[in-house]
Amino acid sequence: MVCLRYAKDKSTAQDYLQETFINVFKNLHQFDKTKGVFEGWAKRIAINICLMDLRKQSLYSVNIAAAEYIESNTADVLSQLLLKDMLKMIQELPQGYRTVFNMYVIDGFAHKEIAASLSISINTSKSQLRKAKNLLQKRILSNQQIYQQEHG
Amino acid sequence: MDRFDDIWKNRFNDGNAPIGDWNTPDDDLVWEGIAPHIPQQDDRRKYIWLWWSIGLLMLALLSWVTIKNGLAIVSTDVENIEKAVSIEATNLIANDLDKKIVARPTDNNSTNIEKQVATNERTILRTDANNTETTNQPIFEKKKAIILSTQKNNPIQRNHQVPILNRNIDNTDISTKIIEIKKQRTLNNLNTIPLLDLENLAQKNTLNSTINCLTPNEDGDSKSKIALSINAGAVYWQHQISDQYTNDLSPFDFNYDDNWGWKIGLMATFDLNNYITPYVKIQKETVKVTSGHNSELNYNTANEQGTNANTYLQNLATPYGLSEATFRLDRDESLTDEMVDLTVNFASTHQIENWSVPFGLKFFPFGKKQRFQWNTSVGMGINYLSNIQNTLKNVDTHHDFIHYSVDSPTIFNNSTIEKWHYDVRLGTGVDYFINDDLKFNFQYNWSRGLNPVFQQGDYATRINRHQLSIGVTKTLNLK
Repeated sequence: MVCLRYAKDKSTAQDYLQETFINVFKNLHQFDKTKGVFEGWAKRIAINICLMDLRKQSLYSVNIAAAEYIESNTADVLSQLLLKDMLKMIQELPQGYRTVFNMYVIDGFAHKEIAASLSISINTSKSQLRKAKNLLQKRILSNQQIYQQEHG
Repeated sequence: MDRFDDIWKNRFNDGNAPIGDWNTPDDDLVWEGIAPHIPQQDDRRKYIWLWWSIGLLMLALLSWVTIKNGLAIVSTDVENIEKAVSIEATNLIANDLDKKIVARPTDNNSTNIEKQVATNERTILRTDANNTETTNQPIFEKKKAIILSTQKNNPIQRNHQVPILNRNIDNTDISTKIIEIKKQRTLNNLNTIPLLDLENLAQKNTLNSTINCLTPNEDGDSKSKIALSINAGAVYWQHQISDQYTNDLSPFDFNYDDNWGWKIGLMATFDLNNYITPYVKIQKETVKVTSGHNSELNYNTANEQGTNANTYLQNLATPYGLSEATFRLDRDESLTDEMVDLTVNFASTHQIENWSVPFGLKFFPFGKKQRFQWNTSVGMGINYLSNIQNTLKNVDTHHDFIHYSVDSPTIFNNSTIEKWHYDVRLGTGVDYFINDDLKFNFQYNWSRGLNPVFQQGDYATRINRHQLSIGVTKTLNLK
């Protein structure tokens, strides 16, 4: 699931997963069970693999557009969405938005850590997160309108 | 963290996602990708052994050359001293002898041995007069040649020598006897050379210099061992970038140049002995490196804010990591397309200032007494990368109606640079003595970076350097 969230599609996620397994095997001797559970350790490796690939891709620029804040409470609608649809929405985000959103909202990284991992400034991390949320809210509302039109 | 965030976090972290096509990877595909990687070995370890082997071989060779030449020089020096002492002593004795011959053997001041030698020499003369077999016996001729060459300032004595030189000696037994007597006289006279003569001996250049060759440390009594050197020259920065970094950036046609810069430094040396000199140095290097790559961008008229321009935040690839730069692209009004895909070439320069403090040892395999002195050196360097100024020199959009705005900020900086880095270095050079206190140096050094100036995961860049410098060394007048 981690690889799926960071990748733009299933094929890329499979590549990430494959790299994750290879790195888990290679570094298995470094795992210390007294410091945490295996699942968390493997998840961290998976995130690192995804971030490494995203760093390669980071030479694709981010077009800075004027940010607009959507005053809308989308949480209720969101709670009714299927996990599959939510994942699709994340995958459809531009790469920079998707990475920062995953790291901050779902995986719990601080902006400082995100900035260091992605070689960006803290302010950039914050603005990318804000834009990611705006875009997701727009899409949730859009989905809701389509749903309402289809079901009266 | 608001409710919106909580929903996303909880839904993706509950670990109970239903298994379906959308979230289940193809096992075969994944394992096909994993299999080739499992037996992979780390080839770098092989090279570590190679480096160690080369290093040990060099050290052994250096030690052997140093010891061999050191012994040869000591051996030659001993021989030189023996010769010099012998010549000087013989000169003194010969002078004395000549005087005695002229002054008659009955001279009251002569010692018994002197009288004996004088008597024998007269015997030689008499024998020579009675013997018709004459041979060119070189013994006296050699002695007299030495006397002539060393006593030019004493014409009276030269006149006395002439009769003896003109006589040929043909009796080898007598010659042998004379040699023995001379040897005995030499030994006796060495013990009875007056202090004044010893001072004269010390003043003789040949003897003095050969004695100094054997005992170089005695220089320190009268001459300082500390010297200061100012040098300047060229430095070549060679980037050693990790394969992972270059491989990952190859789709973007990442390129960079290894470039020459200049350096200036001040070095202090201390003469430990005739062969080894520790050194410490402080130097500043300035190098300008260029790099570039291309990236896919799109120009969107919807993102224009007031003017016909889009602003971009772009990670630029440099030999020192990815650096965030902001720039603007201007659109010509004649272009009305909403969205334009661009392949943009970026060119940057990186002005680098580095301070380093190298220290180590210089070896002079042939000693320090020649006018030309060859040296090899080994050492370490502590480096402080005081500044890297990245400048965006050009952004080529390859588009007729979309251009890089010259008003854009051009300077962007790295946040991932390791300021401190260390190196090991080897060098060779020659010194040329202009006079006793001043010498001219030409030096070449090669250094290998021990730790990277930039590292982020598998991305890393180390710096190796080639350095050529010329300088002037002044021995300090400290005693």
